[in-house]
Amino acid sequence: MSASSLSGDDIFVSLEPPPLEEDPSHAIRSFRNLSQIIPQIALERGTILNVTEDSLRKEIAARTSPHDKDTPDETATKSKNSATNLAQFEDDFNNVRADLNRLICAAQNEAAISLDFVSLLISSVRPAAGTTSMSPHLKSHVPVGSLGADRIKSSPYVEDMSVCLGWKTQAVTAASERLARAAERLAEEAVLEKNYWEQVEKIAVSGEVLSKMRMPDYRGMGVRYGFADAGSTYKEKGIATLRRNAEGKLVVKAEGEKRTKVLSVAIMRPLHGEYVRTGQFASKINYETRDVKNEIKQARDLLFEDELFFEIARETRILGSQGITLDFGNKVMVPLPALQIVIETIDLEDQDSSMELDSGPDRVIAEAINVALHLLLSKLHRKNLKARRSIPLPLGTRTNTTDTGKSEILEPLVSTLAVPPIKDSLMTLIMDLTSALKEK
Amino acid sequence: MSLQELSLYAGVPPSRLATLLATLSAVTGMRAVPVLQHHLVFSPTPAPAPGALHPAIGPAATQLEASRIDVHCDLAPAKGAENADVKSSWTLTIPTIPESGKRNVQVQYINRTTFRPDEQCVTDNTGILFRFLRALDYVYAYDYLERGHLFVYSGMVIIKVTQLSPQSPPKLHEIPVGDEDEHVADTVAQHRDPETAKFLGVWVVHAYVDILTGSESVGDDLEKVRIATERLEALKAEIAGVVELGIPDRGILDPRVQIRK
Repeated sequence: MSASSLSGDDIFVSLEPPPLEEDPSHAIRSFRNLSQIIPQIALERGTILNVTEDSLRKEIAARTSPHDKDTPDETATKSKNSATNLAQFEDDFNNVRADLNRLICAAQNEAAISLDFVSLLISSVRPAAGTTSMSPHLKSHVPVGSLGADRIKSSPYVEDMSVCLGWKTQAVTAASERLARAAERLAEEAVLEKNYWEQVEKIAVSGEVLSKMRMPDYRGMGVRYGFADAGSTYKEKGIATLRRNAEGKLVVKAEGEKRTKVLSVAIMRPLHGEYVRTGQFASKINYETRDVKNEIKQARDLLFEDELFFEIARETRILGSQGITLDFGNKVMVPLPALQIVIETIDLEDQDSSMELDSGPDRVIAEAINVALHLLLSKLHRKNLKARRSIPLPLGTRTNTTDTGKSEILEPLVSTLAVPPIKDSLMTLIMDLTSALKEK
Repeated sequence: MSLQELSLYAGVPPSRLATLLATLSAVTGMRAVPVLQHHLVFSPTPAPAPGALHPAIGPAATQLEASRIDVHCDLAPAKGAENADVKSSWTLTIPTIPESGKRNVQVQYINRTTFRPDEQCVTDNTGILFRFLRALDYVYAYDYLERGHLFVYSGMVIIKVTQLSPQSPPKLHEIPVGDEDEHVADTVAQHRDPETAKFLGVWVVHAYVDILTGSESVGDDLEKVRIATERLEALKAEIAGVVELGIPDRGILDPRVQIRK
């Protein structure tokens, strides 16, 4: 850039040392950025649009031989202007440099003062460490450790009470709503429980044996309707749970599958070479199951029927030598002189249809046999209970009698029914023999 | 017969008797059977008795110490009881000191025999029993009444809840020589009235299982002991809280008497 293009208003100072060149007029190298160059070019040439490559080459050529083109007057003027500019530049540079030095000195002073300040503070805690970095001037004028510092507690945080109250109110409201709902639910539950326990109390007052049940799927009250306490050794203990349904109603749920069969005794007599049923009787068990007490009673009666047939079926094996058989696992045939007794189990629903033969002497016999079987089972229970309560013999005592092979129900019945005809026929035979002997 | 008795004991004050009896009735499923027994205890004597057999066959001749002998009879039960028609019979028991060691139940070996009911012992006051035991160098020491209740648990464990009434032994120095046995038998027979006896306040609960040992026994002994122990522990757990069954100090039940020093 040529010195003639500089205007009097543009002064640029660079901290870089001026280049060592022959023409001092070209010693000026202004460090300017593009934002400064472009306006200057626009000022010199009017507009950049007028700048062409040829014009620039001509300028460069003219710059390389300026004495060929400049006149002596122009050369003197140019020299005078460049000297003036140089002096101005030097003045400006010196001023700026002086300012810079001043600022640096100020910064250095500030840093030294800060160092002294920190050192004086440190000297109150660690005198040795603070003293080494303190300036001699400060050491001579201010005692070591005379300046201390401490933390100042910040001002207490003032809560915005409205926010707290808002949160509290919301939480309390939510809690009160939950409590209210829980109270309603508990009140409903209490009513249901009250109904349930009232029903349980009715069962307890009626004489049923209630006990606490601990099962894998249920823990609560249960009722023992079986005959274990009466001496029964049947596999089914007769236990039912007393559960509460969603409506608070007591539900009796017996363990095991539901029993529906009752014992039936039928009398069959020979007619034209075949046995015909002439009388039948079965216990009528058909309680109104809506009531819980009746439900338990029905379960107890059906359990008794079940155990009775089980014992009768077991004893058929013992009395097989007397012709007693068990057909299809559910029908015991007891052959007797002149008749045959059939003991079987029938469904509760089939009771009415099977009771068509509801009249006649054989029906009375069947009823008597049915009642006798029930009484004999009760007697067996009593015998077991008495044996359980008697003082036991010492363990290891040899027992000569084995009760497992004894028939307690069928044998008394069979012997009672079979003996009279046999006795009659025997008496007849003896009478015939005696009369024949008397004649002789 | 030789028996191995596995047992547990407890003491109950009279105030808790009703609760205990109700609990045992519920647990065993039976009403209490009344118990009334008259126990006569005979001790071995070092001095040779006038009626002793020669040579002496009792323990005094050869042993340093011997067990006391307990002879008891079941007196007629209270009126209205189920077994009112059972005849009373005399039972002779020779116990040993309970076994030592840490156990769950007390183990004690006992020899027991029962006289036939029709044998005349003390019932007709002839003192046959006394003369028989004197021949074995055993003399009457004291007697006591035992009354209470009996239950049977699980068909195996016998539970006796009883009170004892120690009786005053007759003064032997007032008895003519030669008539000791008859006189003592007569005096002892008067002790059998439970109405006049003074019973101690505490009730003793004795739950035990007898296991037959010896050649008459059948089955595995260890298995029988295991079963009996299980039943006793089950009973203990079932009535825990009402009464705490445990093992007493074996010295209390030591029946041994030192004969010679």
